[in-house]
Amino acid sequence: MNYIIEKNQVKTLLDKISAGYEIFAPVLHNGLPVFEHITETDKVLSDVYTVNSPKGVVFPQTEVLLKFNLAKNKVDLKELEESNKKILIWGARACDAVAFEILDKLFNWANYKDEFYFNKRDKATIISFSCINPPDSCFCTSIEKGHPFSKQGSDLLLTEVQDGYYIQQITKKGEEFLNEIKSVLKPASADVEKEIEKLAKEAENKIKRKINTKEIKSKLDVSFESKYWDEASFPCVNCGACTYVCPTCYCFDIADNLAKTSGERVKTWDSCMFANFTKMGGGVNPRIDPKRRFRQRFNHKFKYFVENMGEPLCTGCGRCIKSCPVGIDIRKVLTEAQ
Amino acid sequence: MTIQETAQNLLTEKKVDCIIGYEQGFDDVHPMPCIIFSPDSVKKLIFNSNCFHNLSKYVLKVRGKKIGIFVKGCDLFSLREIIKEHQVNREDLIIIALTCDGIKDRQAVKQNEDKLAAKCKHCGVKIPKEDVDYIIGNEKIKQITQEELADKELLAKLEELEKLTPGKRLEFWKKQFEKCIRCYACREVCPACYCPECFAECTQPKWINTNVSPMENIMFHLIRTQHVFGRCTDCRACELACPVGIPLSLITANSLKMAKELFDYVPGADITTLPPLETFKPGEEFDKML
Amino acid sequence: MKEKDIYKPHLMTVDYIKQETPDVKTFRFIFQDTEAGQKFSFSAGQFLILSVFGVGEAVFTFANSPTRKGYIECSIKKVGKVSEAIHDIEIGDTVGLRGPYGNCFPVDKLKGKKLLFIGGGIGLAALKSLLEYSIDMKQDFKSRFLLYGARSPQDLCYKESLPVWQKEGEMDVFLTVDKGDNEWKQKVGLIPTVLKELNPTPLDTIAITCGPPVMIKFTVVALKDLGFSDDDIVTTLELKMKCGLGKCGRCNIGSIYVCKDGPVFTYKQMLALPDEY
Repeated sequence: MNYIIEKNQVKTLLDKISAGYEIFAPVLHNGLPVFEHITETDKVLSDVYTVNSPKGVVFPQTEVLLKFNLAKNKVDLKELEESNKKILIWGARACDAVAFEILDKLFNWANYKDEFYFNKRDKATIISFSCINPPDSCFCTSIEKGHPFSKQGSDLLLTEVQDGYYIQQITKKGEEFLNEIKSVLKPASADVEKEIEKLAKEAENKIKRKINTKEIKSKLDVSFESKYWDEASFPCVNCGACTYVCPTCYCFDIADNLAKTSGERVKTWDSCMFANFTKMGGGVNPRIDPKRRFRQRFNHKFKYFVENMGEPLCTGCGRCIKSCPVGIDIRKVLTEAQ
Repeated sequence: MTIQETAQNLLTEKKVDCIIGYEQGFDDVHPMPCIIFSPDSVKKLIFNSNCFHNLSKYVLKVRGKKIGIFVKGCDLFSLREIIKEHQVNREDLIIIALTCDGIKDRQAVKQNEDKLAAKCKHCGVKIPKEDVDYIIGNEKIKQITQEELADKELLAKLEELEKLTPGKRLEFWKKQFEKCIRCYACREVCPACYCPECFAECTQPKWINTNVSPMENIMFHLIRTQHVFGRCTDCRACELACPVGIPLSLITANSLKMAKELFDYVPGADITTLPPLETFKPGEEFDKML
Repeated sequence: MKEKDIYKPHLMTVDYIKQETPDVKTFRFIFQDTEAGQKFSFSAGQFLILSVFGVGEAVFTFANSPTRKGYIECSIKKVGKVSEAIHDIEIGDTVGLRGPYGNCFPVDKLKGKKLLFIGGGIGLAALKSLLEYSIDMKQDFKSRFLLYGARSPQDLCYKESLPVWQKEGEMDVFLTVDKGDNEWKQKVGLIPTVLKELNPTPLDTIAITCGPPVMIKFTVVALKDLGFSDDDIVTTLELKMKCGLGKCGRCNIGSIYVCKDGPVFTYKQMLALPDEY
């Protein structure tokens, strides 16, 4: 049985499950759609392109790793509270869901499994939207798993059709969720599936700009010392916008905060764009030069990560292109690398 | 002369080592800052009403070189402050002023609308003449009237904020900064922010946490605002750079307003007067700042 | 509940502190949870992450040999925020410890060989673990030889251990300083220069060197001149690290991560790395 959810039923759906789920979804802030933890379901947007990606749901920008109390000679570690609610990610893009599969690899790499990540990841149901009209900045079709209608990583994939959003069930988790919300859905006619196929093909053809990741990898293999990076990196101001809106950038910092005698250790997003990222206690910094930091970002995504994990650290979502304050285009940087 | 010809001459005659200008980005409405070293590359230089970037800070990336730089009137204000603060020698610069009839509003551009950026509607430096070496572009563009100089809409917003109780005002800013992702794009594009190590990154002593929370974010922006007070020319580069759309112009416009009211100083208006917090005049009511 | 929290440190009590030089102290830490202490094992060359709660974490190497059990020893130079805070701690205080992380010195490869230890400054701390191991497992190695240098006589660490090593390890120990004083009777000069004077044979020998990057760079040149092969020069690399778990993304040199693939590298391995360390 296939289903459709009518657009005006989205709020009903979210209200229905809100007791058991922490809901993360796009809402408007200063006219821009952003992903966040929501409490008011009437503000939720569905099929929009958010500034930030939903990666922060399972890998929050600030996450407490440890809480402690200090006393004379003594340190007491406190138990961390954990929510027993499930997590619903509503309104991810198809490419965002692909990103979770990439992050899964990293957070389980090198024989260490990051339970802070997987605790939330395992509890999360991901409901994504396919892209009927991908914007100019998109290049998901250049990535192996990428497609405007990609099912990779999503539990349910929704596509806008005439009378609402057509629901494609992808995983067992998705099926379970469908069962919870069946009462707000209506059956879809059998020929919708055909229409979806057509829309998918059309959407794919709308993405004009492509990059060849294999070719890029071989160029990066030989361009490390190239002067190319001096010129390409000139416009870059080394802010962290690209890395923070990226659904796959995962670099983080660990720091302690102390208020009198009680403190916390936090994991916070960090960025290879920042000088402090690699600056050592004594002041030595192998990537002190902004150019090196710029080169690191592109090499990490399309060379180092490929060598270690077998795929690029990128979904082709184009957020970095849209968010760059100076208009740097990752497709251009990579294609022109030499 | 065109921008290409000017750049060509300067590079060929070796009056400069490099030129900082704009080139085409990933599409027509997304130009990018660029640097060129060779006369062969001048053809990529462009200038149009989407060239919103303030290029002045880029001179700090090529310190020590002879630099040719394209500036709009607003960018020139920032460049003057950079020169005054001895971050670059005036003699090392060839300043090529671009007359400018306004830059398009970035939000509108993203929605395919044609709208002038708010600050450009009140621009008094469409044809920058002082302290520049060349002027390129239409020198007959229509200047605005004295009356139009003040952005009344923005000033009204500032007044409204001013009227709020401190608690309510904090609430307003908390709401705004709750979305800040601390990417520091505002700081990195700011021509007045060039400390080798920002207080935000300094760990000895530690001034702010890396935690992203409304209050911690406010602390960052509050301290940054103080640091650039009297030097901030309200160029709005920070607001344009903010990926999450925080209305930073409310802060920069207020900075400008206060600099005028307290010290009768307009940052970047000339190349000689020192910024108010770098100097002290007898009788100055500096206690107002506290 | 988390099955296993990879970020959670063991609580350790500071049991012993020794001021080695004006800016280096050696600390010994004891596990507060004895059972965890008994389960804990490491190899020479691996590193650990210490935390001063409320200040933060930093990376250090084990300075004691894994054969010397019951405590963990670190020699720490005051260079940054965390190391400064560690210098302020007193006996009885609590710190955190995570680890061990990374690879270790290639003990199998070293078996039956002559070991040439070359240490500069605080770099001797990492070598000390292996050096003491080689003394405790004397029969496994042919011989030991140490060249140790520092800026000045007062910057030399482990002054009391040096004669013990000499005796127990039946080894030659040469000391050198960049600048001597009136009482200094040993060598004066940079490590690579002194190394060439000493002219050790590369035959059946593996050189293990730790110290500041510049010293390593020139020591390797000297070793090459002496006829050592790239594969017989072993060193450790130090980069900024936060997690130690191959996740936080900052200690990479190209596609290798020092926390996971290092910190011990042969010079041959280093030659394959891009110049970014």
